[in-house]
Amino acid sequence: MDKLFNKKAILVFCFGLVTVSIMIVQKFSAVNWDKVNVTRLIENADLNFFYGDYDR
Amino acid sequence: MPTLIFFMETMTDKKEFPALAIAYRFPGQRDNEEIKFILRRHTITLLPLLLVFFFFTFLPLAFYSLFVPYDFPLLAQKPYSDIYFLMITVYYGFLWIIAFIEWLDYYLDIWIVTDQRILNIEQNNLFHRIASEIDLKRVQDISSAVNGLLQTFFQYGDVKVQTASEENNINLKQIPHPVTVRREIMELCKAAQEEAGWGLNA
Repeated sequence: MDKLFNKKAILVFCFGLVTVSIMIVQKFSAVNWDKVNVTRLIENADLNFFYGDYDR
Repeated sequence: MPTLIFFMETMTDKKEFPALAIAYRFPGQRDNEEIKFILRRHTITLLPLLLVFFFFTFLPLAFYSLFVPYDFPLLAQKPYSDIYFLMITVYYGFLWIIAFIEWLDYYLDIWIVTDQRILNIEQNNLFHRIASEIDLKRVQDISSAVNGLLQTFFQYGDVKVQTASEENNINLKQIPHPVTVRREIMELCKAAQEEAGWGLNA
């Protein structure tokens, strides 16, 4: 079925995958990991969001 | 031949298929076998999938603009916003791969009708492919069904090709112009059965 397989589609897929990979690397290096405090992030979250309480 | 071109025009690759119809040979094709038409699902069947992916594409961005400032205020500040966008990018990577697999599922489902047989190649998931064939001489019944508003409006539906055997049936799913396809296959069956000296549905 080789001729029925769309080479253009494979190229578009690979192009998308490479673009996303480059973006992941860029975003990863953009994060200042020393200042990240996960505990603070969780504590800061409004847990009412998860319970669906919007009476504020 | 005009019928052939008519079917080719309903394919997804409008430019590619007329050339393929002349030059294309599929693996296992017999020397004296001629391809009559190659069928795929109607392109409109991709629409629900497209809508789902459209929704999932905008979901993280909508979440960020609608909920983050009120419910997760810290996430709107650096460096946490950077982490959020990193996660979105990874999410888009997965979404891209899933979209490609779904598209493959559509694109690799194919039915080839030759002057001797009907080949059914179905891709169920990435590593599951089913291939079967029916000899036109053995075809007993052909039925077409256009079911629902969308199928009526966009002229697509199913064609069921049955043989005497209960197991070896082929269902051409969501193909364009099912009534015409059914009629064409019927003509081919008639020719094949007459050539074999059986007569149609003998």
